[in-house]
Amino acid sequence: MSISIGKRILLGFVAITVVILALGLYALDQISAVRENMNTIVKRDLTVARQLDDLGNKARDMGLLRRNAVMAALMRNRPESELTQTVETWRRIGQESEGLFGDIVRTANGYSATAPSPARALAWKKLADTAGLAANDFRQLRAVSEPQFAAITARDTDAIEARNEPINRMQDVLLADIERTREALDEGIAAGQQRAADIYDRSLWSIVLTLAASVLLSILVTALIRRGVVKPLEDVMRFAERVGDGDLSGTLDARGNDEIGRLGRTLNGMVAGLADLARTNRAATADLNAAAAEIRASAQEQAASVEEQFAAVQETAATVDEITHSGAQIGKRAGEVIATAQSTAQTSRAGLRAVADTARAMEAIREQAEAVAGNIVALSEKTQAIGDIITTVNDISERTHLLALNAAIEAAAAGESGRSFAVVASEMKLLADQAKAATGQVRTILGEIQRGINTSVMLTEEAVKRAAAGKARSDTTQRTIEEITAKVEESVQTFQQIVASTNQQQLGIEQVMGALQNIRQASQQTAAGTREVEAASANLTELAQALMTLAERYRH
Amino acid sequence: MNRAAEIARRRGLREARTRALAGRDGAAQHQAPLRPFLVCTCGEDRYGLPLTQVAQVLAARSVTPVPGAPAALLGVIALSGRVVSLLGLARALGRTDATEPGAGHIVVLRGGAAMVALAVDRVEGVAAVAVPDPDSPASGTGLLAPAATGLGAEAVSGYAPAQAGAGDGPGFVVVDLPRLLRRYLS
Repeated sequence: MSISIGKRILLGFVAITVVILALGLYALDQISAVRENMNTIVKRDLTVARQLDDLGNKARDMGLLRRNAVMAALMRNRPESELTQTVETWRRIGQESEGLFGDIVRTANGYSATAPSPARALAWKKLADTAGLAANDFRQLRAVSEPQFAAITARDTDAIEARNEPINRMQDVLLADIERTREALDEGIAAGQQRAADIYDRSLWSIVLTLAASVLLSILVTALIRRGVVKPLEDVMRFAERVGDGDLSGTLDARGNDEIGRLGRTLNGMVAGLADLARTNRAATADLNAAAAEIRASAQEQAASVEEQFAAVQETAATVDEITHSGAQIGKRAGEVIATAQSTAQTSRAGLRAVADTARAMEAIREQAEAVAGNIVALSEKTQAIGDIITTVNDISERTHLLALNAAIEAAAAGESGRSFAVVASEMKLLADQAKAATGQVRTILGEIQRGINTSVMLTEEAVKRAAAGKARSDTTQRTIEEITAKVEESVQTFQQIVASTNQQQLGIEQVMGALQNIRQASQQTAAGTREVEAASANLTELAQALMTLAERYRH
Repeated sequence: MNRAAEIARRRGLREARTRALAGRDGAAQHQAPLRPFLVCTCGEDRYGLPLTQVAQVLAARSVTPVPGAPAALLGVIALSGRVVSLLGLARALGRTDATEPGAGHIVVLRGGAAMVALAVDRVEGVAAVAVPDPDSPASGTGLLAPAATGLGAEAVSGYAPAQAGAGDGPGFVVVDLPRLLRRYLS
């Protein structure tokens, strides 16, 4: 069968719906027919009933008017105009009643022709006949009444009295006719009710039959669906139960192109996929088991390493604490060094001033030494002059010496007479020798003075040189001390930077301490986490073994 | 230096002066004739020239060399319009002459055929020595024999020790001028 189950079910529901729709439409049509019938009957019956009522009233009014006219004529005290008016009214109403009788008869005949049922036509016919009889009676009444009105007009009391009795009889006959007409109408109404009941019964039966037919049709459709859908579904369900029990080896016999066939093929594909999945799952579970064991081993190693890490963090914290203390000491020492360096800078500035003073003093010494050198040179020139003088004196003494010798020679040559002159010559020679010895001493002293002067000159030059060298060295020392001062100030700045750096380092180390605290907490958490990981890996191992057991269930 | 040493030193000085005074008196008594000598120095040596044979003492002056002359003859000099031969005393006595030209003294001798002058380093002065015979000076008591002095020169007549003369310095060699000049004037 190539029609799909959905289409089959749709077809069945469409059939049932069509039947129910037809049933509803038919029922609506029947209800409409009943309503129309009832409307017709009620309208016609009411029209005729109103005309009959009107007619009855007019007949009674005519009777009252005649009686009033008779009484007025008999009482004789009534004016003529009133009588005339009453007579006129009676004649007018009589004319209208005559028209009404005609209308009733025509209406009844028309309704009889168009009646929906023979009973109703018969009833209308009977009503028309009765109305015709009543009209005849009415015309006789009018004919009988006219002489009386003439008598009334003529005020003929006897005539009035004479004619009164037959007129009353005729009046009663007329009323009886109208009453019969009413009864005939009642029969018509009864016939209409009968007609409505008939229509109701017929509709009821037809609807019940149609309902039964639709129920039968539904049962048929359900049975068809059951046979075409449920039974293949049960096969599929049995197959699915086998698969659920772990048998992945079988396949479903999937034929046809409907949903069941497609479901079967899909299930076959799914079971094949499940078999694949089970194989893969078994291998993966084995891998998982091995991996869980590895994870457990790794977790134990990690726990050990976390313990070591914790110990290392403790040691690091202790070390950092020592570093903090030593950093504080460094800062303190650096402060002391800064104070020392500042005092050193002040000292070196004082030293700089002292060296500048020394340089000035050296310069003064050099100038004074140069002045001393100048003085010594002048002194040397003076001693040179003295030397010249001494040379002159020496020359004179030498000449005197020779002169004394020559005098002694002449005295000796003179013999005895020159003896006293020889004494004089001897004294002269003695004086000359003493002068020469004195000049020799002076020369010696002058030589010593000259040597001393030369030594002094050399020493003074040496002093000048040394003063210059001392000034140069003082300048060098000044520059050196300036450099030292600059370097000491640089050192002060450097140490201040060191102090700042040390403070920052302290802050950093405090942060490091905080970080180490965090690391320690993290290590503890890691240790806890590692224990949990260990437990979880144990659970994972158990789970993997349970999974292996489960995977064993699937046969493929 | 204590007081005893001072006293001893002063006593020593006084005794030395006493002995000197005693010796001077003795010499004046024994040496009857005193002969004056002109004491000259040539280098380290001292020579005594008999004062009677000396004419004049001059300061050194320019010397004109004579070609072909002996080594001792230094040259000739002009003196008061006369040409005087100048002999180096040290060279003449066979000693080394260290006198530079232009320095020293010149002793002009008296007598003789030719005027002769001796170039010496310096003329010290006049010293009187007791000599009994002026012509043989070596025989005097104040002079020692040349053989005793170790001087082998022929022109030396004797040696006057320091204590024998009246000069200031040490003793001197007495030069026999005629014997010295003989070889140059012959």
